[in-house]
Amino acid sequence: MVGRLYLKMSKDRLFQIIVLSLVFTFALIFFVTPNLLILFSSLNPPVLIGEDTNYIKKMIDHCARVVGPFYLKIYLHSILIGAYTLLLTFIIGYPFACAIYFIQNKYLQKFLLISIIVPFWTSSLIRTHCMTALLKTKGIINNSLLFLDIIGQPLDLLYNTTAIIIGFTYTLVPLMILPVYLSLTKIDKEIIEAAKDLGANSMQIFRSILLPLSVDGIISGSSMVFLSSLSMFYLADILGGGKYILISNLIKNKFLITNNWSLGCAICLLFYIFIVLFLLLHKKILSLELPNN
Amino acid sequence: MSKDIMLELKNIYKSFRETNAVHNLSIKIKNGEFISILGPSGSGKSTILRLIGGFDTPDKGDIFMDGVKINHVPPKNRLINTVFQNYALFPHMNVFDNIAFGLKVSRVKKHIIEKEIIEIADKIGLSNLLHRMPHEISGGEKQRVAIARAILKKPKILLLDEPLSALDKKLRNIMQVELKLIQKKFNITFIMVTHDQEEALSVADRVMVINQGHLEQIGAPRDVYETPKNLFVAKFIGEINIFTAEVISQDKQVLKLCIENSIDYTIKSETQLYNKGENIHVLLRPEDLTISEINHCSKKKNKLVGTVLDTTYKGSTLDSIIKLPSGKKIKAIEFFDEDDEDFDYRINSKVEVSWIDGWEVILKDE
Repeated sequence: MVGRLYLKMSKDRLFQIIVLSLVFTFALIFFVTPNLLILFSSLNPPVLIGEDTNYIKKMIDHCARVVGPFYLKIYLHSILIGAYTLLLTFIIGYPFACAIYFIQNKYLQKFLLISIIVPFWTSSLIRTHCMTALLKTKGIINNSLLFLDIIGQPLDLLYNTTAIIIGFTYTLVPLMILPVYLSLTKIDKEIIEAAKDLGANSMQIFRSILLPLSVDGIISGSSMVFLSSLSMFYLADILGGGKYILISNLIKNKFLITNNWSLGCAICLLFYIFIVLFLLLHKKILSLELPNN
Repeated sequence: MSKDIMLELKNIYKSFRETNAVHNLSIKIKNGEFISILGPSGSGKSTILRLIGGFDTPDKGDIFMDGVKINHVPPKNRLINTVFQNYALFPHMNVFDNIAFGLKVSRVKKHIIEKEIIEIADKIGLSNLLHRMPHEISGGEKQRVAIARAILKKPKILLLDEPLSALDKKLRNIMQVELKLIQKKFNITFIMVTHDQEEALSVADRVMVINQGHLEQIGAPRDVYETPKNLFVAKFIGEINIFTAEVISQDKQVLKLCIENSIDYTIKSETQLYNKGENIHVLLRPEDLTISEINHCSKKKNKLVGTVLDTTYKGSTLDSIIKLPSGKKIKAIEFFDEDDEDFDYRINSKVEVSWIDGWEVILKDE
């Protein structure tokens, strides 16, 4: 009896060990190793023509380049564009998510949800190219606005920062809507009815019920939007007309054009550190700002 | 209209997708009354609450509050507040902020809010819990927070939607008493929806029994229990034995019946007139029946003979199921009487079932 029990327990234990080791192996191969490679590569800059071969001197130059004023400007520009995108996706996405949540008609609700997901079925690259048709000087937006006599001359919408921000917002707004919607669905409708019953108007319900209870969704949504905006290089290439270099383009260039992998990896690492800091700060800031919490 | 009437519903109709949720409902509710709306699920009782609360508007008919028609007054202007089924406390606010919410949104000054909350928390017994979060307190405490939160808005009517259904039985009994005490303390009209008949009877001043959108009966708990108006009310509230009887004759003094084809029974005539040979129902509560061993010398006339099928010991009572010769099974509940020798009936033994004249309820066949 005891022996059989022991056998059974050891079987369970064996299963646990196998499953865990599989997970660990997976993480080791696909997560730990690549990152270690990035780390080693970034610590091993190539010798450029006319430079000292002394490793320490080489490293100092390397580091200076990574955080030098030229690159810093690119980082800052990327972060700024990311921040604008974040703001716009929130302004558009949050009310949209609320609307889906509050719509009574089940079919309309399903339709709206699908309409958010369907664009993912097409390559983002193709959709970005389509954006140019909308935004160009004689594109759909300008033509319609001219036709309606709202503007006197075409707006300059393509190949500038505005275009990049519009493109990012368009591409990334689903990433804001979906997590926010998900966190809203977790709110019991009775709670909103109770708030109404106690005399709260829509603005008060939004501020003191919906917003604080969907913080999780806002955090994950804005993290996804902001971080994706930092890594989508082709969008800045296409809509910015190749004039604007963002952090993602910079890394791409280091790997594919100037073939300086070490520098690319170093920027990647910096990027990493920044992301971790951003995520840590993000939660703190949001939980501080919200009322009644 | 009398000044005492707080709320009046006049010929209210409401239907959803062709099903009648409320059908020609008229009631008057007095100021400070505790009304419970009792009915099976889907009977339209929650709709009535939503109509009073202003979350729905009636298709036909009028709602008056304090003599003023309020059909189209929005919920927040009605001086009516609701305690929701699952309390609907705001999970991200502590007890204090939950209670304060109603005043905060109407921009009451902070020190006034604080004063009022301390006062109400003291009355309802929440003083020690003000800084706890909703997930840190028990079901009964959540219930009290929900009530305090609603009462602080100083409503004239408080609506309670199945307020005790989420609690376990023991706590429910405690909260029933507490609800009653709170209602008396604040003197607010309470309208409570419930499907639990015991709850409805024990807390309310008057019980409304609703079935399929119709008002079946409204009255004091005792009236509804002891003199149900129809078979639905009789069956829905408590347990009841329904005997079929045939009218033998009726004159000004007496009504002669033949119950279950076995005994003749004579009672005082009622105002209700029956035809000779008409089938009617004689209703008796299980606790009104007395069981005894067959005694041929007994002069009692109103006794039925049957076989004991089963007995269940319930602590303070003994429940017996008795089968009559007609095949009908009836239930009798008796309190223990230790001096009674023949209390413990054997299964399959023949017994007499009797009751005190006049305790029965007679209803027409529907």
